[in-house]
Amino acid sequence: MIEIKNVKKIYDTGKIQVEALKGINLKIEKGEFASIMGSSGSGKSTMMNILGCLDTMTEGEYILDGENIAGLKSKALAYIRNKKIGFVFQSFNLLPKLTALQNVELPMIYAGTGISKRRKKAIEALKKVALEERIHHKPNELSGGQRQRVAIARSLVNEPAIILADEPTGNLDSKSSVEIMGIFQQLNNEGATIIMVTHEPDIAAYTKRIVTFKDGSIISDEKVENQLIAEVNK
Amino acid sequence: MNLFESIKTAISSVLSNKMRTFLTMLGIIIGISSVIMITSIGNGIESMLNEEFSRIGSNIIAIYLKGWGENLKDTEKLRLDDVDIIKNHKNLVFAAPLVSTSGTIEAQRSGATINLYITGTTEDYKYSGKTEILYGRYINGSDYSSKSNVVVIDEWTAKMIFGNSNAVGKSFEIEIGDMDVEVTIVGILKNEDNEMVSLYGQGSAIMPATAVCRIKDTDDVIDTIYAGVNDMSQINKTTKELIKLMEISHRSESGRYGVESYMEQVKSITNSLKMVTYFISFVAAISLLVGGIGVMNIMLVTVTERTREIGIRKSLGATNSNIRTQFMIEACLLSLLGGVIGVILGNIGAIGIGAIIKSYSGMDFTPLASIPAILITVAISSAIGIIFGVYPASKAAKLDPINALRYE
Repeated sequence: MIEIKNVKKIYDTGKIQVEALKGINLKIEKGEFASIMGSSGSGKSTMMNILGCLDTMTEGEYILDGENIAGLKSKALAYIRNKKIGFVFQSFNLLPKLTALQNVELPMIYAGTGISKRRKKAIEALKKVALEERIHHKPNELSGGQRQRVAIARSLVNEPAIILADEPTGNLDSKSSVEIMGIFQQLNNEGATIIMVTHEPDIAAYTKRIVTFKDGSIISDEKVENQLIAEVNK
Repeated sequence: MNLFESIKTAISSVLSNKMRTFLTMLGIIIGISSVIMITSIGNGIESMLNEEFSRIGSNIIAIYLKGWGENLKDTEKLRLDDVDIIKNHKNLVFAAPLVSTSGTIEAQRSGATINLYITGTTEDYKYSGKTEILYGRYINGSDYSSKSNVVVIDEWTAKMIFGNSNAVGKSFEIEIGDMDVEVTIVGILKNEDNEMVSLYGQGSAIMPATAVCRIKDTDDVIDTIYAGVNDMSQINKTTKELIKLMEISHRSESGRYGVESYMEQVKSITNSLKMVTYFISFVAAISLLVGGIGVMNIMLVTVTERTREIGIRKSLGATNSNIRTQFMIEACLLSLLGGVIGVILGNIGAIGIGAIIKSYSGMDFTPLASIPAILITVAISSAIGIIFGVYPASKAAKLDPINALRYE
């Protein structure tokens, strides 16, 4: 599904060159639920940006869903972000003036999906995150956990190859955090491939695999022995 | 992302900050409405002048002797029989002598003194403009040959003297110089609604030229000859030939006679009016430029404010050109909306000014909004949106998604 070969990222600030990623090799199979851990400055965010096609690598190869991403132009990258990647951010990144439904419809607008199909799929996605009763609410009328659920619905609505979650529980209380992890586990059980960046070990414990970054390299890559199962009160 | 979605997004964005939208559009509204107002009033004046001159007739020319007073040789002066010489020129539809004088009438009924402008001519003079006989008849050939003191006066004068307009057959006295001339009315002419003659308290009368010459004791000398040309494309040739005819009949040197065309006069007046309109429009166009810079300024602010939104949209798959289109449409919408409001306000302003001019001058003045002016100004306002939207929109399109997403 994802194959990364010797990926390097060098930030050239003119005087000094900072090597944020020092030749990363990583393989993530379809249906995996992996977390990327590390302290700030470890290179995990840079890795995430490259995986999400928001940033380009200096060197190396990135094959996503059978397609080599290295060297693609911005238009092609926008297409890949639209079709193959679903983002979930720490700060939700919903458009405040749009309703939950309209926010979920956004990726489909850029994909050119027709209006009735768009509406139907958006409602389906919101049902998956148990928000079908709040589709006409704006983000400021929703709780943090609900906002993140809208963001998750938005990330999966174009049926992407992978969902990338960047500290998805960072702005949430522990109850909502468990709720969100429960939704990710449910999606993963239904076959979704999820990569999540976090610095909280107890959140990473809900995933199946933990990849740890330090100083631009992977220092450990382990399967989670006792995966926590989120109890979702329905 | 199709155009419809972009327009929807742009409309909701423009509506979400109404005060700012209004202030941004203000420059364009002022510019467009001034252009519309000025061109409408200019058009109104032009059509009023055309109307005024069309009463005289655009094909009318006047033949006259150059110079004045002592300088004029008796042999060169235009006389009644000169009309017969040119009358049959193949390019003329009519020719009539014109000899004028003025007099005063003491209206017995009201005691008022009326100034009367008397035109001595022939029956052919009726072809020189709009002539509508209300009662009676026009002067005719036998009036001319018998040098009768008969007049055709306008309705207004008839009312002033006799209290009603049907005064055919009645007589009155005109004081011309130190003479009292008794005349008989044979016809009444309708006044045009906005005819200036009645406006200034002056009546008009048409009399056989022979009678006027006799009263003035001028030995058949006339002021000018009016003629109607049947083919205005031949005007230069016709003019030369008529002058030649006059020179031959008076045995004069060349350059003594002139011909004036009313169409030329109308042209020169409307041309200078056009120049004024263009100039003021140019000044108004500068305010459009300022308005356009206002649009660009606010678009740059909008792009900065919405950096995060741009980042989000890009992360969801918006291409650079999607983002550029979105902001271009927003800029165009702002300036186009300003343009439309400007057109409406400009028309309202023109109608208002037209009403003021009408009430002060009493003339029938209607400002005319020209469709091309409206189309051009609306096109200009959308062009402003495009021109001044390009830079902010490309700035938005080029934003780096990672930095844009991090923007607080």
